[in-house]
Amino acid sequence: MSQIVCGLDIGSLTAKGVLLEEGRLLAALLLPTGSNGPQTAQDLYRQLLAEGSMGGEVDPYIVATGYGRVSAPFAHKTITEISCHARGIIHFLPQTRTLIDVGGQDSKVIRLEEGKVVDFLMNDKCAAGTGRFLEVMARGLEVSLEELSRTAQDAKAEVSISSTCTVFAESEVVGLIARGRPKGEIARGVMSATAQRIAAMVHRLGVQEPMAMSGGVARNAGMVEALQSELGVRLWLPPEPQMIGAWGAALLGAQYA
Amino acid sequence: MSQPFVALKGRAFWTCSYLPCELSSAFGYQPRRFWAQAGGTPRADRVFPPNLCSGVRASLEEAMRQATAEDLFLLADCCDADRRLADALEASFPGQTFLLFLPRAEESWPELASELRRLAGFLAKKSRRPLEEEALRAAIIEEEALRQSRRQFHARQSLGGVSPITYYEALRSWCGRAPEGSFPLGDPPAEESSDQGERAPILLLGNSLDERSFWEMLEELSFTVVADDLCYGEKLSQVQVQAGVEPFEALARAYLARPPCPRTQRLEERWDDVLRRGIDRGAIGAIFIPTKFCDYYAYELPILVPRLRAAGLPTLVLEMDYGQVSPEQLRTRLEAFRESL
Amino acid sequence: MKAVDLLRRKIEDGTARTLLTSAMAHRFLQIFARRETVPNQYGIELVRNAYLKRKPVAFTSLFFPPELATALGLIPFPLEVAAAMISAMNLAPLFLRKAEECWYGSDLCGFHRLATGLMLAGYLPQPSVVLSTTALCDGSHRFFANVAHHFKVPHLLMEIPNGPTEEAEEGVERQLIQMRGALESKLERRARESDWERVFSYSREQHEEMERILEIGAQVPSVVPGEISLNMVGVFYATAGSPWGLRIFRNWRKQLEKTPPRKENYRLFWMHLRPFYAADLFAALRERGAAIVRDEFSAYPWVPLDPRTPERSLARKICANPALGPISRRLAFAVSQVRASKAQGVIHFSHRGCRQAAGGAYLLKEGLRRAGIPCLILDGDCVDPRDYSLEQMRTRVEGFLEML
Repeated sequence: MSQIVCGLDIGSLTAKGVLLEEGRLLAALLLPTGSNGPQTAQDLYRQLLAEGSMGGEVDPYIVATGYGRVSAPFAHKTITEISCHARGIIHFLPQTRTLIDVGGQDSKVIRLEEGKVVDFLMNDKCAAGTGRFLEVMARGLEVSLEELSRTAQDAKAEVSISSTCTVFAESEVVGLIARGRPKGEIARGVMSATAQRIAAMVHRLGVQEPMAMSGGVARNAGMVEALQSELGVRLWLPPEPQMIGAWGAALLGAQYA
Repeated sequence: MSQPFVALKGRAFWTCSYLPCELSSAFGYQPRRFWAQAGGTPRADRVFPPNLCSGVRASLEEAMRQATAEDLFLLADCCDADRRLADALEASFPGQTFLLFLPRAEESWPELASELRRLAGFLAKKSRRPLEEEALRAAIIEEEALRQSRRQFHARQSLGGVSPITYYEALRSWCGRAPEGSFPLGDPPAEESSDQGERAPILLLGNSLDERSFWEMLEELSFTVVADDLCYGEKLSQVQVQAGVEPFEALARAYLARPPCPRTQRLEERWDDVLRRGIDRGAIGAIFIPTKFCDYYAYELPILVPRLRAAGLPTLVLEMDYGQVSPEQLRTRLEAFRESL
Repeated sequence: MKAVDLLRRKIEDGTARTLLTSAMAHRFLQIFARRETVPNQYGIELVRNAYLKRKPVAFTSLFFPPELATALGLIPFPLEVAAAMISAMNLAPLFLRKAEECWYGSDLCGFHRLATGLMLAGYLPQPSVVLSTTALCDGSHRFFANVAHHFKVPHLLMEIPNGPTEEAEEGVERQLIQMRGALESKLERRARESDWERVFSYSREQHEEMERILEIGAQVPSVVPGEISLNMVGVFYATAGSPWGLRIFRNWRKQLEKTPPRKENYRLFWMHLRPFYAADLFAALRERGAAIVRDEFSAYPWVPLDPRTPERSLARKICANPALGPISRRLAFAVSQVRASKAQGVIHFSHRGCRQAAGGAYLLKEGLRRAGIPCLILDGDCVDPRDYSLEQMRTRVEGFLEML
């Protein structure tokens, strides 16, 4: 029988799953994690099987990753999202030497040599430089995340956001609105501030190209632009950046199965 | 300012005001205190973790942005963060950094004198010229004259006759960081002495305040700084180096005898001195700004703030990242404090 | 019920403060103590001697040589170690909050903040003197100064230069002579050569035990449970020169000699101290077969102590600290220890309030990288559990192990 593997990436905001057969995609799904991680993991797995028309007849080798990886006790193996994101990106861009993964509650920079992780850094325990920071700032500006990205890209200038603390930065944003600064300029300032935090981590490991980006924030065009301009390099984006961790988990599963 | 001794070579950057500028001047270097620049510290953030003193971070940033092979970095082991700054500078600029062992007690002057001789050896090696005692004595006289004019300035300041921005410019100038065309030392503009009546006289405490916008806000909100406890402020002006004594001994004795900083063991004397200056000069409040992640000033807070308040000086504590002022929060706090005085 | 559980309950219900000074309570505690581990027995006796004022108490910093206090008949009471013990009992937040209420901000070192909380809540015994050095940690200078100010007792500070030069040793020796003189006149008691002989002999034998323990740790596979070694570090420094020091480490060595090897997939060298409350992190490491085979502070070199020149000997011991001076010294030491213990990688626990160790962590990591040694910087707090998340730690640690 051909080998079927399943990768589950249970993140802080969303749970992602990928089902592969001999490296071929059978199904991919994304659900909000919600408050009941174990239930979400179970639902995600069932829906993946249904979508891949697997029913109850197959027993894929399952690898769980992400902060909620322990929420999937039915998985055969758990592997950190560091290794999974690395493996996932190598599948799409084998030459990658630096991977930036910005998720809901953390960001990481992974250094790869010939497809292997040789070093990595994660954000300190602080929301600045993560998706959560962008969410809070969008809330302060009373726009959606998509609008935040769009208005930032359209803005001709930017205002500097000096607070690195998320809570203080939000009050700074509110103050800037009160003083009548255009939302687009503030949004661009927010993107720049986030990009600076992430770029500092990249620089700590050294800028090595090709550089790729994964995670939900990679879908935010304004953020990608800000990061590219901060780092002075072009970032390569995989087709579904949010799914890279799940892809990597499934591909690693194929090695262990 | 004339420099009669030798031609100027490079710049000698310093962080701790216990390091006598007389020595670097005597070897022809321009002493300059590191000064926080606008635009954050992206380069330093690659070397230091986020929970290290923002002053040290700003210093490394400035060095990485603009230092050359001709420059020197003269540091004291005054705190753990400065020691790590020495490591980081050594890694980026090999052989250009000197780290001085700085004792705390006044009676340890022989150790400091010996360390200053070691520093002179370093400067001699770097400048490729031996120490000339005449040049050192001349530098001491010159620096002493500068401090004399600083003391005159403080006398005017203590009467409320100096605006915050003028004081800021003076501090920059004393630290070798005066922008082009700034006012001559000890001679602030004449109009300064008038229209100070509505101002709230305050005592300003903290390590250092390089950020101009903070002083502008003090100015806007009609504060006037009548006394300060800044590293490079009035405490440094009080150094008095004796002429006629062996120069290294004179320097070591004078610098260790200056009004004590929070790193010394003369804490009771320090607290009394700060309080007395504030009250004697008619301050009606105090603003205490410890640099974030500076342990020395953080340990001052629990003792000094209650004392200031008990002595009738309402005290505002502002935790501020060096060179990273968030204007909205700062304004709200300062404005509310001004209204309460 | 275990003695530590009893103590925890009494602190929580607020009766411990009175009990700490009650001879009767201590007699009961002694009965419980018999069933405790040897280091806990030491802790219980330390508390009894200090609170019942059996001898004058000297608060000491981690790198202050306790031999000096012991030779002069003082009880060395190590405040940072006391803080670690309180954190290991999961009692830290109560006292941390107390400190923060009184302007001791959360940026300060957790050990010092926690000990400050203990002090402000009235849980520390009355000292006769406060003794500290500036070795490695400058924050400790003002912490101990504030403690001395609170108790209105003298603070004797030893200033340690940046490395083991002849001049540095002379300077420290001079300070030790002055300090001994000051203490002798305050206590009206002199330390004789026989006192130094006794104290130094305990110190030497304790160190011999530690060297044997380090050898055991270097065996492949290692039998040393690293998380317990990391608990013992503070005790090692605090008990040097006392019969307790020898007893604890002889017992520990004997125990290790009987310990069967564990499953070992990874060998790690640990730098700086551990998070004392985070037993689950070490359980997670164990699960993955990751053995902490040696740690930085346990491996500090031994310097022979001569009772005829006690101050010079102690000065040499203090100045031999491989983390004094430029980071290149600490790096060279770390590389040599990684090689000697056959470790594959380094975990540097960057204690949030620590400027000297955490402040140099990136530079250290870069140096280790050049030496071909992978290093994980784990940010956290050694004693304050309030921002701790096992999941965040686990991701970092497991990611690192997967990389090795």
